[in-house]
Amino acid sequence: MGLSLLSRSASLRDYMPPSPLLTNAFQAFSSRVLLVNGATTYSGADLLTRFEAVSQALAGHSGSCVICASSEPEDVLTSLCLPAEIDVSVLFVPEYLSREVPSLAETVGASALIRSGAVTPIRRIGEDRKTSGPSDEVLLLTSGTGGKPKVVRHKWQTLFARVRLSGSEDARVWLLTYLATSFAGIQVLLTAAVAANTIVRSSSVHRETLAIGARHGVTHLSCTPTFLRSLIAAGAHETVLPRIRQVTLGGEIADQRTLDTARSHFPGARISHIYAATETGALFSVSDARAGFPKSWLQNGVEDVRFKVVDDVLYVSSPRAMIAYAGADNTRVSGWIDTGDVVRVIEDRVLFMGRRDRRINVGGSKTAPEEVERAILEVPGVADAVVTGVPSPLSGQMVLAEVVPTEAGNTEELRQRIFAHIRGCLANHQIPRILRFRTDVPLSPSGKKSTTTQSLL
Amino acid sequence: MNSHEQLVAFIVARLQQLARDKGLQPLSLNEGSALLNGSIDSLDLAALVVELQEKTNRDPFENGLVPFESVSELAGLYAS
Repeated sequence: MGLSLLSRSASLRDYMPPSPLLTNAFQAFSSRVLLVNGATTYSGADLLTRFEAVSQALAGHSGSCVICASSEPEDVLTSLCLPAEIDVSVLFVPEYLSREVPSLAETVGASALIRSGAVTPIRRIGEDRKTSGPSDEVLLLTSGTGGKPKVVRHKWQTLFARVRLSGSEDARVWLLTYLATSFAGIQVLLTAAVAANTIVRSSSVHRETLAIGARHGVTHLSCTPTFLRSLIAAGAHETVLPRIRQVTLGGEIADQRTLDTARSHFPGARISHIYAATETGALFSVSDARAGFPKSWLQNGVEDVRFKVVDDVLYVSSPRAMIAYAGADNTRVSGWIDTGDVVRVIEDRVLFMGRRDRRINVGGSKTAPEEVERAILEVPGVADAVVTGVPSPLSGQMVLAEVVPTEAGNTEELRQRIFAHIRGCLANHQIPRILRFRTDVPLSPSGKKSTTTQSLL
Repeated sequence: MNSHEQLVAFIVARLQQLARDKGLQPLSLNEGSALLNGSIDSLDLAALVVELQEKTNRDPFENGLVPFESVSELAGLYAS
């Protein structure tokens, strides 16, 4: 089966699991470097050898679920190939959730662990397993911001449905900024690997990421808006990354200011933002360089996705949504999914205002921290801002802003400019009463702004 | 350890900063100044209390609201 069998216009029912496409690409481009992870590079042949070793070690596990307990992209890529050879479901667990592996193995009835290219059986084959469903699924974890991570069951086909196929002669170099085990990370890995494009993993240090990106001639950057702002604050620019042709923002609200910043720093690149979540799957992408999405989509839908707004919160219905959470009843999610995203229609556009569960309650008045962050980000000299609610005995919560300046220097002057600006566009209860400066924004493992409601104590 | 004087100085400095953040001229403040004086509102006080708690690791409001009106009375709640 060749790459040409799948055309761009294939409808959802024509999609097949990505695994044969991956192994074909590894075979066809056996000497090309397809993955750079730190000091280690992997050619197509290296990835194929790794896959074959894992696949052989899993002989006899057909019909069961295995856990890829590694965030290393080489482990995730080889695990994504597995259904080409054997009939297994794969649950992806990032390293930072390693302590959850035993209980997750129980939940999904896993029979083996994959880590560092090696397979460790969990229980005797043939032993009774509490299986969670059919064996042709990919199981992903939610980020677990609201407690324990949940296991989300997807069909391989729907996970792959929005992966765009490009010709393998088109030499693209993707910067992998997401956790490889996440929904977004897997989308990047699949998109790049089926086309035999090179994937370069970013570093946790932004300056190193810039050096890596420059050294490998990165052309495609897919990241959260917070990650992009951090990278720009660290010096990302078209002169540093001259080959950037595409910047795709996702995972957080892509506000107009950040879209404009992306455009001004990478004037030659196509800038788009995607709306996707682990539960909903990939919904749509917007590439007109404007925040939000067209109001007409609310009525007409887009890319087979339908929308409705209830109490300012966006609900979606999509053929690419998850089947269900594992452990829950196995009925497919056929109805509306509550996205938890608060939206507002302004003129011809639907704008994302913030997450419902991040709202801050100041003495009974609710405010979206994202709105305060956007206002602060409009001030020249501000690289990024995190706004959180802090418990206060007098007002329930109060607004705390932590601001990253673009350069070290006179923060008192910047502070005055920030307050002068936000006094003109925010209500009194939205104005942060504590504002502190810091050198960077803490990122969650998924590359988003870390926004846990905090106590200062 | 935070003496009464240190806490008064901290409160006055923070109130002046809250006033600056509002674009106001420096306030005329001393130990006996009333806290809610028109320039300083209840949300400013809510923030001040959070910062005092952070500084002293004491929470005088643990068991409910305690009345206070002046800079000195607020400092008294946190002095050790």
